[in-house]
Amino acid sequence: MIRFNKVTLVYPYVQRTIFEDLSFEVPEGEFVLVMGDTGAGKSTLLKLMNGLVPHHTGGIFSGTIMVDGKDTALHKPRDLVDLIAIVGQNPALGFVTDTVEEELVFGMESLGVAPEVMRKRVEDMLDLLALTPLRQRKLSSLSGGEAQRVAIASVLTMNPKILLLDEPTSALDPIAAEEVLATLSRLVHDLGITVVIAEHKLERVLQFVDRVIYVRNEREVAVGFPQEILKDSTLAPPIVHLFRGLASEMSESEIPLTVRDARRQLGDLAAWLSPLQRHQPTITAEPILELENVAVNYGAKVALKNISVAISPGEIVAVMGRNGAGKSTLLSSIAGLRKLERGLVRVCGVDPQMLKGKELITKIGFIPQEASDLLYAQSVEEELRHSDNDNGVPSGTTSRLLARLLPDIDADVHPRDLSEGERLCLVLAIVLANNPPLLILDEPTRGLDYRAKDRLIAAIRECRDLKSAVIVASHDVELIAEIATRVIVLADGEIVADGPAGEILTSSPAFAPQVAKVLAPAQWLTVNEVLKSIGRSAP
Amino acid sequence: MVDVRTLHPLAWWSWGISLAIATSRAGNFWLLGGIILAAVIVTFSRRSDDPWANALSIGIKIACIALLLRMFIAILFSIPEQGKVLFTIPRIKLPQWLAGIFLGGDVTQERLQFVFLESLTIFALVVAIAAASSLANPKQTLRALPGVLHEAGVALIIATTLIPHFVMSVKRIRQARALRGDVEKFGFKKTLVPLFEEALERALILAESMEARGYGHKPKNGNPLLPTLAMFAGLFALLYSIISLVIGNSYQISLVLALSLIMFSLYLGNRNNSRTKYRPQKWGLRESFVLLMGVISIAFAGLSFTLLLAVLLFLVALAPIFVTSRERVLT
Repeated sequence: MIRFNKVTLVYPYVQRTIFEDLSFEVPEGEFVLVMGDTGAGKSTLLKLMNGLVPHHTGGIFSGTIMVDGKDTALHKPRDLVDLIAIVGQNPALGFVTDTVEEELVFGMESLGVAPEVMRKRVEDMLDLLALTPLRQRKLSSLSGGEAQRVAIASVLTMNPKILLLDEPTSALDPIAAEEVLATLSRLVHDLGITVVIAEHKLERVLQFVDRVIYVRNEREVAVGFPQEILKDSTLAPPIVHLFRGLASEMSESEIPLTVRDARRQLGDLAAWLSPLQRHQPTITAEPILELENVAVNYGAKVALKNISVAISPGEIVAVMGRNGAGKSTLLSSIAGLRKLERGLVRVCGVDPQMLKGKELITKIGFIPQEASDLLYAQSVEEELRHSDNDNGVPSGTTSRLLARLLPDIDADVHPRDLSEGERLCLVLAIVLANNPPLLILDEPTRGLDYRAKDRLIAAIRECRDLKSAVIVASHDVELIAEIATRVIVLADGEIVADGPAGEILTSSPAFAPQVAKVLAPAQWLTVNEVLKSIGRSAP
Repeated sequence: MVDVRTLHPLAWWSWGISLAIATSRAGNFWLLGGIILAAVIVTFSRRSDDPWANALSIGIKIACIALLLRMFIAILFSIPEQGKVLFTIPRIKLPQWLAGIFLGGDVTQERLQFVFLESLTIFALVVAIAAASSLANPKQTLRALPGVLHEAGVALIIATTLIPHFVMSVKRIRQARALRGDVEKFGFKKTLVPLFEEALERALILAESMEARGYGHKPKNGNPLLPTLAMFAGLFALLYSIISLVIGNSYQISLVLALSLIMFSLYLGNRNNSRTKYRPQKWGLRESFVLLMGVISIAFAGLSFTLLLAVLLFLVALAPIFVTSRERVLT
């Protein structure tokens, strides 16, 4: 269906080759996953497939890419829309009109599809993607999962044979992600559409895909069945890591990719593992953060009601919940950025709304969802200098911190040119330069690969060891299983669960990490825990 | 999206423009009052909750200011005239080079009446146009226009959706500034640079998404040169006729030629355009009725005044209210 033949791509003025001499083929009617490190070129690979690269972005391109017998070099992406469609990383930014129904017809109107056909296709798509209740809604009022489904519907109306999606679930909570992936899987099975997605969170997608394209580096791209590729890939979901760690005990050599397969193969493992002994730190210190009956409203909408929580130094608290449950509002209220309707917030005994400037950053380190908002300088070096200045620390402090998080970074690079993971490290270094007693991170793993996540985990643990309290809001259950000591679950602006991570994560199917699902009912959370208990080191 | 209970946007515009023409022919307080009252009643009882529905309120405020300003100037700068003197303002002597302009002096009833009527006409004109713009959905209006003008419509829609995004970005960036310990309220480099970077990035993503959705897809049929040439010739003829009008030559023939050339160009462009419309709003009986009533109101406004005429004109101007119901509120 899609054939790459000796494809090379170079951007002018950039040292690095993006791709060199790539040749591979994607068969028709399959669910294909593109995996690779951040910056390996997954998005670029997708855009090459429909010709946005190089038609739209420029770049020096050689070789041929044939899509269903058409050469993308000879056709503009806009003339291939009825063959190959793409949904970008943040679909809300790509919306052109302002209501759901208008968005669905935008492409068809450009193509000149007959009105009767349009009418019917719109109804079909609304049914197929369960969008009927949303048809007259304003696009700006949609949740992340809904926006993703509308974006998919808006390209499917043009009847493409191939659908490309760039990180369709990265901003979604586990349930919404599951919904989107199930929908995609249905498109493959019922309509015979070839679906290609790029995704970091392998644990979410591997169970659905038929084939994997693994972008190892600019020269090497492996295409194969998931079992083959994952046998020795450095990127792998927890199930595969668990299996690899226990490989010698296993008689079968087939790698399990779904929780069901893993339970079949490792089912009795839970029985012979020594009983779980998790060390739950006993907190004796005075709480560093106290919330009392906090309520926040947005106009008539209630965002938070009656939140009372106390957090002590040394705790790593994860805040979980659906999109729109109030996680971000809670975090920004703690940092004093929201006007409270009722209640009290105390950070180190002070109302955070009273803190300004330097007082604020010595007490609270806050990393917002768009971490790059905190950056404004023209190079990494300048940014580090500003940070030393703002934080009032000896010059070079931030830079040393960054060197620990990210050993080989070019100080002359513009912060926007860093990868998502590198940028997060830079922001972390800036925020931690002052060693604030409270660190807050809002959805830090968006777009991070496993390696960047490991760096983040190390940084957060270090922070905890320095007796800071850490609060993380995230959809990433694997990250939370790895670091959190305590989990708070929000729903509709209220706390519905608050307790030790092991208990909360294993008790709800949506928030359970893979290892917990495989070894249920034992409350194991991570691969490391399991391997350590039998005296193995982590892979 | 399309609500069957509302009128075709062009019908609303035909109504508004008819009333505007009627006001310029009326020249009578009662007729003008009737038109203004009808336009206000129709708008306030039939407008939706959308942002553009406020156009009339804004229009009335602007028209009020214009009216008061006009009256004030009329009183202040008097022209010596015969008539009943109401009151006198002390006259101020102006320098020689401003001869012919009088500051202060006698204010006559006739003059006040004349100026008030003149201002009220402008007031009614603004109200009629503002009424139409608060009733007709601008996006629907653009959709109802010929396909060749579609691009302009898309640009407008994008602009209106980007503004709220922009406001959000500014808020977020200022928040981030506070989080870095910046106490400065507004820094050019620290606020505007990230804002522009973000706006540019957004624009690129949007352009990419539009490209990937077939925007600008053109099948190769028809000759694109002919409509362009016709449009140029039409605009040239229009310019010629405007100049003729201004310097007092005859302009009718060139104006007709200009308009027909422009129409021809639009017709050709539209025929070459392969865009289709999803659920276009239909022009039905109700729309024709509103259009007819608009034409009748123009005719009525030209007749000599009687009380019956004023009542009839008011009822005719009120026509749309009889064939529509209040718009459904969309969330």
